[in-house]
Amino acid sequence: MARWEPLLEQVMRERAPRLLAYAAMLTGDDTEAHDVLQDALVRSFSRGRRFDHVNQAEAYVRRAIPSVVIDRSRKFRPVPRDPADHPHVAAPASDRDAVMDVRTALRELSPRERACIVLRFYDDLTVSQIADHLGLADGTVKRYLSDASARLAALLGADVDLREENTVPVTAPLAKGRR
Amino acid sequence: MNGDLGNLLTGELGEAEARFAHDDFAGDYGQRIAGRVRRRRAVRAAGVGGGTMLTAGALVLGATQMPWGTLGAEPGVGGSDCATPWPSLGAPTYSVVIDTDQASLMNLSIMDASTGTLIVGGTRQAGGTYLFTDGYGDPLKAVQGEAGLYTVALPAGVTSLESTATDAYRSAAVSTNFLSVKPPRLVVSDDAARQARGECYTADPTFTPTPDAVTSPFQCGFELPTESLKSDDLWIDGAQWMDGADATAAIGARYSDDPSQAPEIGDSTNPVPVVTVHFAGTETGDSAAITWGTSEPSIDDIEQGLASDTSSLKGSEGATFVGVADGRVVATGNVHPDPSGNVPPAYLDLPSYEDGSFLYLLDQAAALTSCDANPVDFSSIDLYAVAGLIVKQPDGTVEGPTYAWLPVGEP
Repeated sequence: MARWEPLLEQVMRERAPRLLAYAAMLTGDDTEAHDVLQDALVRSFSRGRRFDHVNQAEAYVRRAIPSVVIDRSRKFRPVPRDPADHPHVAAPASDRDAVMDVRTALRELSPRERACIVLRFYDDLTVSQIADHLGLADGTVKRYLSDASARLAALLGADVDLREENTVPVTAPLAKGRR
Repeated sequence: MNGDLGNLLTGELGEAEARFAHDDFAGDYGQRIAGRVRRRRAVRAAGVGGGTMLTAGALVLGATQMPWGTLGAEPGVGGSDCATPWPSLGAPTYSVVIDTDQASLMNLSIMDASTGTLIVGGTRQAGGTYLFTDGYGDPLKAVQGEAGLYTVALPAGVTSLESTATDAYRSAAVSTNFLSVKPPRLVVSDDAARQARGECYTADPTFTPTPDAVTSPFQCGFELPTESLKSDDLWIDGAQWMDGADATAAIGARYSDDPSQAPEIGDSTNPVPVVTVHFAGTETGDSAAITWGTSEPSIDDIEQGLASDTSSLKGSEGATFVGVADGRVVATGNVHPDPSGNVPPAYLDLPSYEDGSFLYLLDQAAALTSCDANPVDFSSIDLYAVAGLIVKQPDGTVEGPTYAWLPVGEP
């Protein structure tokens, strides 16, 4: 067995739920997340890189996921999935409403907007870093962030902090449905 | 983490992780994923790090023995059960797949093991892409696939690779951090391979570009690997929108010294996108001699147009608009600035290298030609600005072609 195979197995056994969760946040679709993670694992382990530890491999696969999502969004049209494919496991009641709201709101965004929002607000990347990561122009990233922030502000309410000081202006909420 | 939204996203991630906790991802998909990885690793091509010149496996010149056997029927001859004979394909084209995705890889060389002759050289460019040249320094056609993987057209006469020198190559590359160094993989053009396998010819009435002939965003069928591309040598600024009268005035102002030379632009009232293209890679002051326009840059332009000037840097630049659908070029720019006075659908103005070149799209319908027999469906395409650059240094070194592209967007 090649030395990469046990590490691939370990990543899939131990880290798949977390990686799938990250992919699901970027795709807005649990089944699509499985496809994305498969592609990200293949892409990451096919390059001949030496991973010394499962944490390093997981981090690499995680970094590959946004690019895979963007690539797939260019090639494939999203197909509505049956939510029953992956039964919902309830979170603590105190968090559930907010989480469901943000998940629903994220699904309203385009794949590129969603990727930019997650990389900016969850991964704390700068606009330039997002642009490099996704192969987009800085201005394009700013536009996606601005549009998506406005949409999320409208969907999630005024108490959600979407400020992007010195980077992305928060504009007034746009008319519903506009991209 | 950024404020409330960051916290909400963290909550969403935790919620999703709980949803997936009971999935058996490794059991469901592990075997399939490992198989895909194995297959892809099996076709990895060789890379050589640190600028060291190494032998990358024996290359057999002039042979036609393919990995799957000797090429079969001669061009123009179909299999015995085929109703339609194959058209003459001419000489089959051969390519080599090269993996450049190694952190330490700066330059690579594929050499004839027996003679030491350079067959293919690859040099890392400032933007991270690679320029591939033959033994004479002339650029070879290369199509960039997924990150780091290039399909490079082999120089004429090189038709086969022999993989028996793998061990020698592997030992030579031991100073790099490669885990799985394999010889470059030879591929043959699809039609030649199909014919060799005895398959029947089937004419495709739709546009089907030969993949290994599509090498730039100026061409039909080119698949844009990213939504936009830029480098330190070449980049495009986002579109500014002008109304037709302002665009006419701006272009006319460039001919204020001799208005008779100004192109007839018409009186379009439609919004006109104007992108700024920065050809920084040829920004060398008096030493530059450049050919430029709305067509794809080429070595021919450099050699033919500037043959008398051998002392300075020479370059060929081009920029135009193309139509893109599903990440693929489906309509190409078909016009050049016309000094005769006809209305140019697209107009490229170069006030200065410092400020960049201004590319106006004055007549969208006239500026683009569909890649198939149907008219361009502007409702289903995205308009992109594309630019290219090739530079030839005084010592003969060729840099490029380097490309950039950017979606134009909406006004």
